[in-house]
Amino acid sequence: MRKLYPLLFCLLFSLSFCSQPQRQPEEVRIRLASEPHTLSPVNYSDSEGLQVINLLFQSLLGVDLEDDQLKPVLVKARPLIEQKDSVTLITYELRDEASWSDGSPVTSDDIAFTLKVLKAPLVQNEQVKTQVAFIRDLVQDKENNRKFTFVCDSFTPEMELLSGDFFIIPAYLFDPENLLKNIPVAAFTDSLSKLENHTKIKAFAAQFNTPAYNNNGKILQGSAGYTLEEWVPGQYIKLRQKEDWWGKNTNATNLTANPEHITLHIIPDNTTALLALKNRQLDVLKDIPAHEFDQLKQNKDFQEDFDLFTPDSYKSVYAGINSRLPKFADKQTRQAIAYLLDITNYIKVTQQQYAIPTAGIIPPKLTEFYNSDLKPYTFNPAKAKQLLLAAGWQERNTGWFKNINGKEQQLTIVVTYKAGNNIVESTALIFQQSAAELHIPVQIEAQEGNLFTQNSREHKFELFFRPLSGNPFAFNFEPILHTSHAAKGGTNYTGFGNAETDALLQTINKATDAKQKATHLKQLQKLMLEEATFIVLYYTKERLAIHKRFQNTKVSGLSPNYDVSAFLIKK
Amino acid sequence: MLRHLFHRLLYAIPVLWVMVSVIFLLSRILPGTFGEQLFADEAGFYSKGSQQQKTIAYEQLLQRTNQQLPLFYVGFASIKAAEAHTGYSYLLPDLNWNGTGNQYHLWASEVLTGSLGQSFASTRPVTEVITEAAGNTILILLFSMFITIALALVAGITMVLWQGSKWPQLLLTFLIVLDSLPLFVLSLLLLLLLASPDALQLFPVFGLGYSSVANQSSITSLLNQLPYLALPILCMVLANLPYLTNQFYSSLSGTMQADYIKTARAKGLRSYKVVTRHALRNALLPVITILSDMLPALVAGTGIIEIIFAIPGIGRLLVNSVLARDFPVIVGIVVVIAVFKMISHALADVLYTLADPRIRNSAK
Repeated sequence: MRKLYPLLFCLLFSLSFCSQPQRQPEEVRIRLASEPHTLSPVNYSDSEGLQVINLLFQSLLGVDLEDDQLKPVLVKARPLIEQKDSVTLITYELRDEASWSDGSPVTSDDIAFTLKVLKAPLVQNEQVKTQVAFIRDLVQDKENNRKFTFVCDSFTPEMELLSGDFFIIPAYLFDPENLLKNIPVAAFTDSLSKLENHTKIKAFAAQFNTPAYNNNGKILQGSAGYTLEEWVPGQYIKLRQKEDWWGKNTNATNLTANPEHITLHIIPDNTTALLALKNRQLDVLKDIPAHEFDQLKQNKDFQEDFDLFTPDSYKSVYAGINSRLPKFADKQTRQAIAYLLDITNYIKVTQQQYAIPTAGIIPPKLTEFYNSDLKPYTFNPAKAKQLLLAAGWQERNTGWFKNINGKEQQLTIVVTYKAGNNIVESTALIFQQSAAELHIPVQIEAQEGNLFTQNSREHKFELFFRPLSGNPFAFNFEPILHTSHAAKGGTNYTGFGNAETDALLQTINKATDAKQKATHLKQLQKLMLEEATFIVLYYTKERLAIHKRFQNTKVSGLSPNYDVSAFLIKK
Repeated sequence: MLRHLFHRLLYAIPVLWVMVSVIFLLSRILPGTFGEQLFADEAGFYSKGSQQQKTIAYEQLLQRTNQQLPLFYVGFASIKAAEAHTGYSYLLPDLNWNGTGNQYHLWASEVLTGSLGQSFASTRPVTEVITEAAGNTILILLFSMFITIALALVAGITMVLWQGSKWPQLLLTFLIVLDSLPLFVLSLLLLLLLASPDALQLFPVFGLGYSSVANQSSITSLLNQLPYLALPILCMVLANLPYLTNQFYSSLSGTMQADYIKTARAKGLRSYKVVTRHALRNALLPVITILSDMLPALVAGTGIIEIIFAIPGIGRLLVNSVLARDFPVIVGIVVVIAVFKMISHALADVLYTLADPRIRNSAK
């Protein structure tokens, strides 16, 4: 036993030796909240994967976070779009300098190959294939192997963005045996069942579906400025700058690969990530909880090394009322509920003021399209009471009652939200208290993610709070607001819409003139506010910190909120 | 003894099979399938494909991962079909025979060939994914168990030896306070106290450092990782210490009342020798059972530790797999834990015989 004591002291001593990891020169350290499932450019499913793949591969067009504008990346200019009968032709020309890691040029053959991989049956491409389903064929220019035209079905407003928003992969690395070379793109558009038995496609899929195509740095080499140096599962992903990268020979300011090394550390817990930032073990951290962000603002030591940013995001939180339920079918009842939403308090409690109330679905920062004449709903129990009375509800000691379809029914509300989302949980609790002022019983239910989605699709909810994300480029609200998506299984969960709003949504999608579009969008916001079925509460602000030794950080409200490839070390 | 062990392991195989089969079937009853969340992303301003195309792609994913197949050899008829019954015949369920084209059959056939299948998420073999993650978990478990047992033994013996003084009371109070702290609170507290520039900045905050110093030996690699593992191990030790110390202490206190201890004292032996030479062996018997039962709880604990300290391991893998509905990995981890549990029970048998010669003799 006595021998145990020195042993214990030795152990305790060894536990207490300290060390801080050494930083590599010219290295940027970033946090990933979860590990990407895959780094396959044709089957990524999470934002973390997208952030890494963006540094390895390039698409035809991309967003420059400097000004949130869509700009050419692999191509010389934005495409030429022509509408002919029932098809849309989108023509691009690749940059002369664009080349792969082995120095060979990026040609229209690579674009055709990428489309084939994205459309092919048996191949792991389910995540991205839906995005290019509208492209029927690719016509290559016979005289210029860098020029090509997508032949697309009909026309939708997102087509320009979608046609340029998929990663281009090199045929020489992904199909060294040229198995797909002689199969035309158009063959992948018709019935795919015939192709499932095609020997070459089967052979390609067998090879492509191996893990190496998801995580091997020797294969995952695109035309962007970085290569995958190391991926230690569960810990970090390390990228190294390419030598003599072609992008440096262009004048385009959105083509950058400045830091020599980028390390993306996988840190699931927020507190740990924040400590790592304070310890200078991370250079960038986004999604900082509002309370902690306020503390960092007061911390002088921290502010000596880090800059804090709060760009306006395109993410919002909305309340959805199931208008199919008889008790919520009346517009005035829904408006009464909207007057019980204490948005100012939600912003104060859940966002620590890092949010902007909105009257419509368009972000207020997009002044051209946002309807500034409208006023958002504010907490007003007196107005809510008045509306309930107007809707035929009778106030008694125990609550509000109404005769609906021959049966007396009490006004009760079940609020659901996705379990684990603290922001909507607090929102629901505040709403419960607000509704109690009018004696409306509110029951709160946190539901597991899959169950919550399933219930929303099957219309099994009364009122929910959920987040909504958007961008400044496309305003296609049909999936969430058009009645054609309101059946069970559709994405119009709330049942919003009528013939007028359906027509308006289609007009918005067809409008090519920005002024016309703005007028229609403002009208839509007005109708949405009146209907009070889909009530957007506020748009959030991002909260991030970046080390002061970097400049040209391109902080933006668009994900991932900064462009790490543009970071320059201050001299 | 070896024959006895062999029999124990042999009998455990059918139990293990039934247990894992039940887990397989129950896990698939969870709402949602792998991929459902990915295709059910919130529709926003910018839809990457129509609902119809998404449904087709989702069906393709189900087909690729065999999730569209029936779950088991037999299935129940739908509720609508049951409603068509007359009289009391609805009390007997309508069963459908699905043949061998079912998920369980495919999984079981693979297991019998020694494969646990492929991860839906990463497409890598499940055995490879689990082996990769298990290394860190085993390291944390082994270190923390060894230190906890040693500390609990020391604390238990000290409390017995110092009975009557105020120190055992103080130690017990400290252990009760420690026991009342949930593991995640304890982990965060230690992080904030021992790895923060606002307090003591002694340990690295997350991960296991860079392993890119390639071709390093496993000992060098372990030494490099030790500073990163120190805090997680300390958390596990502090979390398990109160319970284990209490068990040691109560077991030792009970043994100290036995007649043979009085005899030992009557012979004039010093208290320390009475405890270590005579009481400790007998007091260890119930503790061995507790230790062999602790494994699943420890794995659950490492889950929290691994998430907070950003260390890849079995616990974190299990949490992520459940959230993503990566069924092959979930079942694979259950298989591994069940096997370990089986082995730990067999080990407990061996330890029993070492601690008590009477059991050794009866085993012969």
